[in-house]
Amino acid sequence: MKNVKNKAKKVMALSLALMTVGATAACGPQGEDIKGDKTVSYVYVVTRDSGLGTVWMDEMAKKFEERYAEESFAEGKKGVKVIKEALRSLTGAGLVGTLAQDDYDVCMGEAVHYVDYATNNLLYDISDWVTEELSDGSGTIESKLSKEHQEYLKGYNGSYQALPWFTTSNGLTYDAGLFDDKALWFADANGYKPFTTSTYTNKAYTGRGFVTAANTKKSCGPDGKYDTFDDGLPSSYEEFFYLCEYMTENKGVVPFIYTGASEHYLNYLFQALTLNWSGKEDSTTMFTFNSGENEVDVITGFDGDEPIIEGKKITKENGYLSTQIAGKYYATKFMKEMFDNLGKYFYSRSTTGTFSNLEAQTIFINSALEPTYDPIGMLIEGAYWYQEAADALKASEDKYGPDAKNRKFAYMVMPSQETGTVNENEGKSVVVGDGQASHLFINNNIKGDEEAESVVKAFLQMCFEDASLGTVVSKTGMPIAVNYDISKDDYEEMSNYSQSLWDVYSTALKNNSYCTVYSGSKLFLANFPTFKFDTTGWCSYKKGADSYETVRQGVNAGLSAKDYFLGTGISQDDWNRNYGKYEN
Amino acid sequence: MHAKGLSAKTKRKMKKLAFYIALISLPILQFLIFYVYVNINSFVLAFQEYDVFTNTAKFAGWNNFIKIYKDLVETGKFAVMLKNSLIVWVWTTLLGIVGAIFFSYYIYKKSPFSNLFRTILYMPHIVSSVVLIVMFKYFVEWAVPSLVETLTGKLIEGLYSNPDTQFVTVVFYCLWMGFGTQVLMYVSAMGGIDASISEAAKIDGITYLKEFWYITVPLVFPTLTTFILTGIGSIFTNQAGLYSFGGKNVPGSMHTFGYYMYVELQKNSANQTAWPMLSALGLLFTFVATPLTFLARWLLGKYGPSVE
Repeated sequence: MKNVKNKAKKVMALSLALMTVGATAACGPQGEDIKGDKTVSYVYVVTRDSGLGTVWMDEMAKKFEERYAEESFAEGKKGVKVIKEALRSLTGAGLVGTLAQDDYDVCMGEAVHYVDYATNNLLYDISDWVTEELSDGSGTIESKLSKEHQEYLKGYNGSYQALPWFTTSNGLTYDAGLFDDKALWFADANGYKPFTTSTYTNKAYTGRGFVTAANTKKSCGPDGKYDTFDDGLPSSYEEFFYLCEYMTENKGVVPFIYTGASEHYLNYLFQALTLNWSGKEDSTTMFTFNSGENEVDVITGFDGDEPIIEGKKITKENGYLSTQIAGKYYATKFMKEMFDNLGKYFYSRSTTGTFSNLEAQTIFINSALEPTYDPIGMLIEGAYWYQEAADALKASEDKYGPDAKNRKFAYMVMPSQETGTVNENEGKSVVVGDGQASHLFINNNIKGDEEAESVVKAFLQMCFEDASLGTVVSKTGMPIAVNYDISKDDYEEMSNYSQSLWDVYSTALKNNSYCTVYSGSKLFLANFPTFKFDTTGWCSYKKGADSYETVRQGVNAGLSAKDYFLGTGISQDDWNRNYGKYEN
Repeated sequence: MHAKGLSAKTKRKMKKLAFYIALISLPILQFLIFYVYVNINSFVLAFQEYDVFTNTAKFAGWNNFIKIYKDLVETGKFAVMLKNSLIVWVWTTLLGIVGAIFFSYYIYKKSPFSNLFRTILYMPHIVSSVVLIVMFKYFVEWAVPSLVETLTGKLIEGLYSNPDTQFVTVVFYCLWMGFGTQVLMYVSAMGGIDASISEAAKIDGITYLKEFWYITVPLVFPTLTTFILTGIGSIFTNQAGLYSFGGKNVPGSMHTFGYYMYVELQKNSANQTAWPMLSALGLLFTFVATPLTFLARWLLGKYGPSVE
């Protein structure tokens, strides 16, 4: 009897052990058996669970399953199935510790520096796939990458191990419908000038005036061209703050709102200001530390409070100067002016540490429709906010009806000069860059598994076909950071805001003013946390024991624009000491 | 075959030994990997530098310590972190202990509303610390300004948003959070005091405060010593909840050693080039904390109240 009991115990223990092992080995999301059907091939796609959403993954999965429904990737199998999952941890180096054990095949992460994964041998070498002609005849994936992207992605060991995905042009979103209703556009000529003095310069105002009727011709905007997406927008800092005064003093409009719970979002605006002031060439040196024969406008000192701007060729030896490019100073000055008028220019709860991004979005959306609110002109956010606010937009439509449908929100192009106004053919093309570092990469676990390699390759290559890129852009509203164009149908399917983002991105591509915020410099690759185009680090103040994440914090601490700007740089000594050993 | 020759006693002993080995092997393995290996590795790392392109580390001599001196000491960051860490320590450990022990005595003596106070103090500890900080932030960012506005008509900044009250708010939070745990421990320790000692003292006419000073404190002194000694190590590790309050970018004037270490590791979780300097810093902290702890233990033993 005792023997039988012991045997029963052993059988029970073995069964439990097997059940545990079996369950652990075969379970995917929500505990389901992820590869249960042995008659089809699988690809397991994971994406970052964030404001960028999962729509791209759903669309590509649908397309992939339809396209390969009758194809076989392994003997005895027909068709493909895409397993999809959204992961909160897919940001930065979030999967470094687990990817080797994970079943994921294709990963789309945010804030990803592929070198973090490559040093741990976690990434599959996709060089052959990237340099192969795509089936739609649109070229190779490599041919769609910018030169800087190619250098960055091959910089670690010469092979491709990741690809760029979404590009987010962060900064200001404005309510163009409100600008129409309140006549907040700058007029081309003979505009209305409510004040004689500029609050920005404290001198006589030298910019344009405002439109007085709906049919008044708008100014050419910062790009100096008529009939483009920036017509009627402020073309100088002086005009911008003239508009803020007009909003608050004459129109009952609150210029800005942002989320105090995510203070660093303010640096989305710092990104946009710096890029537009410095232009693509100068901005690129913040990542390459090499301007070639070009001279970059850097601030080498101050005469009182006036910056001394000199043109300098940037090399690895004087790379510290790229942390003091002029655009950063003017971005600081612009933001200081904003926060010197905090109580007047900002929605009152903006600076509260618990005021969330979703609350800010909701109030921005509804402020112009709700009679009890003061309308808000501009939202400081990442370009992805519109997807994130899907529920708030739907609720707004439900409450306010047709007026709330497909609102005229648009990306605001930032000025690149301090005073005066931009006249025809005197402007600069909008400069945008990617502030989110979203990348696609393939798990090295598939290496040696012929079936997985061929399915994943087909999926990845399909994603970079022009039609797929068009679908992703039209469904998500977010451009992909490669060179391509989209169809008229895809464009028309997008919301007003998404069209605005595409207009800006495609214009920057066409005018060669898209700034790829990466480089193949060894110095950059090895010190990514310091030099990445993030919302902290390069644009934050650090001097002695003090550090401030944003200009607002600096203003609170009594810093001038000059002080804050100087605190965002790296000294020659620190440069030599910390980065002298790296090749460029 | 051999086992047949063993006596029943030896067999029993062997079985016990096998059981003991099976029981203890896992914790020992864990100790060897996660304490011995990690600490040795950290020690070695403090004298190395890492090359990301060759994925190799090489001997760096004192370079990481020089970097600490240049980046932290020369810039004044070290002094600020030391000051803040000591402020948090003094308030949460030293003054916190004094307050907690008085309060515990109040509860121990079953003074009016003592059970209510005990519940109020311990309640926060059943909630996740992150959730608690969010609630606390809402209180200081929304409730306090709203209250001030209602009472005075004046719009003020939230206590955490306002740079003038930011650090004080964080220290208050730490003090409040530390209080509940300490009170619970001291009340338990006081509960273990033999009731006859207290009763005999009462017959001798001892006062409420004298009983506290001459009987209760000496008898719970071992518990108190534990808190003080573990508190010394926390000077270098306590991040004072700053990460939950402000994420990775809390203004430098508020940094503590613990926050600095935590955030630098967060920022560089996969950037191995940054690890050697952080290892060196950890090593330095150990060199300071260890003798300090032994000194405090000696002082408490020598000058602390005696049960006799």
